[in-house]
Amino acid sequence: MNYKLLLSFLILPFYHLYGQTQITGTVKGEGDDFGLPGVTVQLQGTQTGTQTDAEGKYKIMASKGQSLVFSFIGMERKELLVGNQSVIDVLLMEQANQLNEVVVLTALGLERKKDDDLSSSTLIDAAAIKRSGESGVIQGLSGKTSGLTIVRNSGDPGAGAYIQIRGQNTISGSSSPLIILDGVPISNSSSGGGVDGVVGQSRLNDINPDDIANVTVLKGAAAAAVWGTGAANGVIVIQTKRGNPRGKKVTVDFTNMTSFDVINREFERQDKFGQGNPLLHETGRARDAYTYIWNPTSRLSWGDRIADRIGGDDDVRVGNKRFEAADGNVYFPILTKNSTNTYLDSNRDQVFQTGFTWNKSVSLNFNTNSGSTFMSFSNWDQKGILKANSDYTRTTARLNNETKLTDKIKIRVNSSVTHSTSNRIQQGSNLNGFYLGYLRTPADFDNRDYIGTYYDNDNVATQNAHRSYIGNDRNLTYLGEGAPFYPNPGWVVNQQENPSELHRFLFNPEFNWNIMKGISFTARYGFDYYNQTRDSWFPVNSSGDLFEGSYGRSETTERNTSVNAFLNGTHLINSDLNFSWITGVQFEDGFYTSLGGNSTIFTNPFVGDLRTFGNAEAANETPSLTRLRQRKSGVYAVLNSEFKNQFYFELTGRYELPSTLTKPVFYPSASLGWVFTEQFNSNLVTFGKVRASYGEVGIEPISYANQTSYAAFDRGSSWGDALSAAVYGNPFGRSSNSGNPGLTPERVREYEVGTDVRFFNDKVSLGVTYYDRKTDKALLAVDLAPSTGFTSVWDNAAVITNKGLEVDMGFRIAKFKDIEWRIDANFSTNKNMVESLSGVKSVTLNGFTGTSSRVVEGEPFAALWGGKWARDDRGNIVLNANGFPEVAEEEGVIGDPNPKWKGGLGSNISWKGLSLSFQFETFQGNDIWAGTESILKYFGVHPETANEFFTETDMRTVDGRIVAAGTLVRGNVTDFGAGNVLLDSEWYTGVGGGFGTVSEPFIVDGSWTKLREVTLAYDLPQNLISKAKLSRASLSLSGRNLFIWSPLQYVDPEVNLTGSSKGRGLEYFTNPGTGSYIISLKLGI
Amino acid sequence: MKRLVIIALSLFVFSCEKYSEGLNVDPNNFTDAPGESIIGQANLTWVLITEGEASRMAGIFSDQYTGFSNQFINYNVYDVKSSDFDGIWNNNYAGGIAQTRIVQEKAIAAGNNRLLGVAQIVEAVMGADLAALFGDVPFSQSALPVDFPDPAFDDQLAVFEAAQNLLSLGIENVGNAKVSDLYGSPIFVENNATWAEVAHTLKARYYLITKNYAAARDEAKLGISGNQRSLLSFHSDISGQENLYYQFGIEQRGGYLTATRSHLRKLINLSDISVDRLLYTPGEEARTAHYFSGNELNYNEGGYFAKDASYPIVDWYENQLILAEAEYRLGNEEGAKAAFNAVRRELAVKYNADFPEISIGGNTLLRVILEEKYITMVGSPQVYSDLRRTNNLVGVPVKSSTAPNIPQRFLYPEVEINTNKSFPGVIGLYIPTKVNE
Repeated sequence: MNYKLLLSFLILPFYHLYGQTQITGTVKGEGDDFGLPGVTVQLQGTQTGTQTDAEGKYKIMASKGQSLVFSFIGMERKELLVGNQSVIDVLLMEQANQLNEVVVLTALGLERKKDDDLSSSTLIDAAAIKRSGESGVIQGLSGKTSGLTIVRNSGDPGAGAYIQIRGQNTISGSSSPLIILDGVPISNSSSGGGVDGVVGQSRLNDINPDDIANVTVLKGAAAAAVWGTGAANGVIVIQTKRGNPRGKKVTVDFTNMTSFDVINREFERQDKFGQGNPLLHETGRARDAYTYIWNPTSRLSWGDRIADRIGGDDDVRVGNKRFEAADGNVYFPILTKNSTNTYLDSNRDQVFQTGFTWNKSVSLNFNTNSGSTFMSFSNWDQKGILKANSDYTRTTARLNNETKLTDKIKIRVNSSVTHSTSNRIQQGSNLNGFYLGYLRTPADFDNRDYIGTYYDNDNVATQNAHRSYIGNDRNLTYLGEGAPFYPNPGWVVNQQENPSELHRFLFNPEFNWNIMKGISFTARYGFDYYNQTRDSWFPVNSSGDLFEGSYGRSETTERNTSVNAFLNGTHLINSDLNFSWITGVQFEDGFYTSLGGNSTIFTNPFVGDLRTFGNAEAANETPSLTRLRQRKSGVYAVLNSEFKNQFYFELTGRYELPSTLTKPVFYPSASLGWVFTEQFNSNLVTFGKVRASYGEVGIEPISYANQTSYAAFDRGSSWGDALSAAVYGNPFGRSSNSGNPGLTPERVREYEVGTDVRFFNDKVSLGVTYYDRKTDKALLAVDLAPSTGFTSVWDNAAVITNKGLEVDMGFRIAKFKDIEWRIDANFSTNKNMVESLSGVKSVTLNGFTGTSSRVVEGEPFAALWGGKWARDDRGNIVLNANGFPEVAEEEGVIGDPNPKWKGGLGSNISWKGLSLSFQFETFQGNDIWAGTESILKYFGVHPETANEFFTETDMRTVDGRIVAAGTLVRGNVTDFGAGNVLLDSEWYTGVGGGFGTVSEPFIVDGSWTKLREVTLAYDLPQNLISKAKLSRASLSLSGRNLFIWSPLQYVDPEVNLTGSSKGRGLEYFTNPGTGSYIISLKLGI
Repeated sequence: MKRLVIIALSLFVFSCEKYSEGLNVDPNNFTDAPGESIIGQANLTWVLITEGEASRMAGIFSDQYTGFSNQFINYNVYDVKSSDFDGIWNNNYAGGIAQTRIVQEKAIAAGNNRLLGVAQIVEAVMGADLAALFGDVPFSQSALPVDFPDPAFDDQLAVFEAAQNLLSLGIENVGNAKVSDLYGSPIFVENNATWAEVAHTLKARYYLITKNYAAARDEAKLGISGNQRSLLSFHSDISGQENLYYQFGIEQRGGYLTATRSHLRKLINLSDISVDRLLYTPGEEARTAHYFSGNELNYNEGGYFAKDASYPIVDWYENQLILAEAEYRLGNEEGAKAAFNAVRRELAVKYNADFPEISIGGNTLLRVILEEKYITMVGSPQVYSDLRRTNNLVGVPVKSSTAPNIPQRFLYPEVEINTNKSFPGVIGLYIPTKVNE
């Protein structure tokens, strides 16, 4: 190196002696007809150089044999040897990954070089999001950076996702990060999230992913501190595309994407035994335990051996009593079940299909001297994997404009409208749920004729009768006599409707004024408005308590407005020291109202397509209204300084007053960084920075928690039976939840240390961050002893900690022969602990009476909770006289749904126009409650329950019978510690099945690894497409979520019954997850 | 300049306060209600404990019903855990006692003695029913969250004593008001029931549980004096007003709760000879049809558990059968027979069938009285109290092969264990409560 330098010093002056000529030329960018201004043109090895002018033209004196070096930010450096020519035109190629130029967005949406940033913020490139082919922006982020958890709760079209940065911080507050779109906060509220109903959406799905330019994830508290209250879960800063200010005047891009969705995992079900039960259930005699009978009034598949039936048609009683299906099939009461047919496949085909999505989007960029514009229009049209009433369509339009009014004043407007409609299928613990009816159906029941006319013995017809496998002594529901307990999945999919429709409008104008050199003023206004209607429709003869019909509708409006104005100053004190500051004010106003109603028990069953109120007695017409209003005002200041280009320092303070509090709060943060590579020059380490920060952010108390309310409470049990106050004189009572006027905000304090290093000429990059955050005064409805008259009180009572390590690595494997290969990997681990609940043992987040996800003192957040086996002092299971485990009298923690670690691995190899990319994601060490599987054991549908064998020794059963050796039994043998015992129908339908009091055995390892996506893309060569007057054309094939590796069987391990709520790790008849095959075509003019 | 900044800042702070002031006032919920309204919530809770989950659980333990499917299979073999009792406990305290305390406060402030009396009666039921089912329970320190955030568990007997006192006060306060005229409608059936008679029967009920037979007899004599004066919950076919058994068995949890091979069904099913009545009763054929439909409870129109079937909360039958047993216990067999035979005559009318009267005495008489109560008061938690008090004289079978006895109590609920620092400790399902020790 030094030698070369020396040599050039020696030789250079001599070159100058030779005749220099003037070289001129124009520099253009790739795919651009206009000159590129500001390109540095330098004689290699000298200090001599110039820049291109506004037209991209340059002039420089050079001698033959010298080299000209052209460089420009974002473009690849180019060296050209000067020959005899006097005009050298240059075409610069865009540079793909120039690491020292990577910018991240700060919490205020301002760009900042990653190398100068003192936080663990990471930027996710839009291309990676787009490649995923997801309908929502958020889903496209999964696996791409450390510390960010994105979980698809369901494969339903338009379903929302659960977003979490680092660990869960709060019990009562929102768990979602703050979403900042083009500098202003927008709503990401999500609906749903109970144990039943339909899958929730999330409002982030309203944004067209094609409009996104980039996404920055601010994980740490210090980075988010300017947002104070509301930023405790981190911030996701999204920037939408802007018109390209330079280059071609007009460009148009068109994308066409089609996707085929398939169910990614399915339950295996036995087809050896039919509907029915052991004769024991009817007689109570031990000798009848292994005699199985077909019984159409039983809900179980513990019936007779299907192969033992004589075959042929069933013996039926032909008479008036019958069911005439819509397709003409007639069913009579069955006298003897003869048929050996099973219907697992046809029942499947009755409801499942290949889902299909067609997304079209077009965007337009144009620029003028005074500004630039981006316009886009898209239409997403998706049909789900269920044959009807499962769809999602979204139409978006966007107009972003930036206009320079004067040299100093710039106006920017980002606006978009979204219209979406969707239809969803009931799921979960729900007598009208799809999977519940579908999976519980015995193998020998044909579900296909689900609707028709029932005729009773007097030939009186009941229209639209619902035929399902299960009835009771009085009702032959397989003839549609009376309402079924469990629905026919055909009915759920075809007859029930859950449509929703949304209009959303986002409008964010911004005003920029360069007041003087180094000082500018920015003012932003954010307006985010949506209106959504949601209907739920259960026709007469639906299952459960809705068999007389039910119609509900709600209209929700949410409006979030914000004003944010700040002054931004930069000062260069001397060449070693500069600092910048921001000081601003902010006002936020949130408004929410939901107006709805419900009609149940229709008085006029002839409804047709009419969906309206008024079809019920007054007492069964119930209106509802919920409103919410919140405001927040704050001032903030940020001070940054840089010393000797290597020491960085940042201070942030925010002082604010939310309407939920009576006193203002202050949130400080401080960060330090040192670029140690400035101290030495090394080929090994090209860049290195260490950083440390401390920050505080908060979560405000939920609205109206200051008061104890009085309402007309219904009085009932957790099984659903209830006395409705409204029909009993509407008496008012005091809520069992006590308000608390003395609430304070929850405060999150976080320390973060980390380093960003790049090695080998930036070929390898590494970012490591360790954080330790603590939420103090976390608000929760603290359980009170019910004997106090209250079951809970709002209080700042919990302490939650999260500690974790995040590692991001990148490898830019050198280009050779046009092959470019990059690998990105990330790893994160988060240790979460609920340190204190002020003595309360547990607080339920979501779930069932039997199994739930809770916050438990001394356990990780969202711990799984339920019935356990009794254990002695040494932790051994206590066995009863029959050799079976005893049930513990108290419930406790049975699992941890938080992964021990998670990671992502992505790679992209490109060669000429061809590229292959893939993305893996993994969660390891998380528990899940396999609720569906446990219930299918109860029903005798699970393959484990279909095992038949001859007993070798005498064995006890759970109900104390002794089964003699040599008995043919259906079940399994196990040893709980007191010798072999027999697990038969009484075990599975009792304590050993999903309805048993013990959920501990159904907690399974829910770790998973998914091939998130694999994409093969081809950019058509320029010479081919230019004939078609195109400037870009590419075709890609992708597969998404097609391969899953997990010890958990039968279900997509990501699905979560309780949606994006804080309750995690619960799986119970949740609509299945999907995988997709995607074909995209992109054209550019 | 400095002053200007200060002025600007204070102006800003001021406007900030203005901006967000006064918004944290709940626009969705009321923050107060009159006592006359709140008493209705307590009454609903009373219906719930008599007809809801406590009734189902007691009925399974008493083998009147069978936990036949899903989670109820486990209840049938007494595989219950503490959280299974959360709802019952929550309702009685937060839905019951908490509300009656507010009503009493408001009634005293308003000088409304009759409202005060009703609240005292309802509160007594809440406390005493809890004591009967759970044993020692918080009562004197309950529903006083500021003074007693961790209410102590009162001795079971002390709770019954407090309940008796409350009932006495209540009787003084309500005068001779009819339930239907005074805070009872529309939750209770509009008939001739009076609060005072109902309260006397309740006193008799709780004296019976504490084995104070003399007091039980005296109170029963002042208690509900005719079938038309029984306290019954009102049900109709309006959604949310249906019979809770109907809601549970038809609308919500079909098949969970049946009478498949239940002791009660065998007892009254004349065609099932495995268990027979001590007192031969041809009228049981009609009663079986009224109670059951095959293995299921009878939810059909006109059935005992029909959609619109009213349900006894405290009725004349209970009063008479308490009187009969108390008289027997006090050695007055004639009085016992008279009270018992009055019940039989009423049943004969009700079912239009033959319910022969009894003439014999001795221990058989006691067993006949208890058996009649076991049958007549189907689904009442009082039956479960009788079984435990009489050491299962009716002879209900133990349904679990590993259980030493039928359960002797409800388990303390998870919600209380988790939160109350005064919680005295878990007590097993088969340990009798103090009154039955």
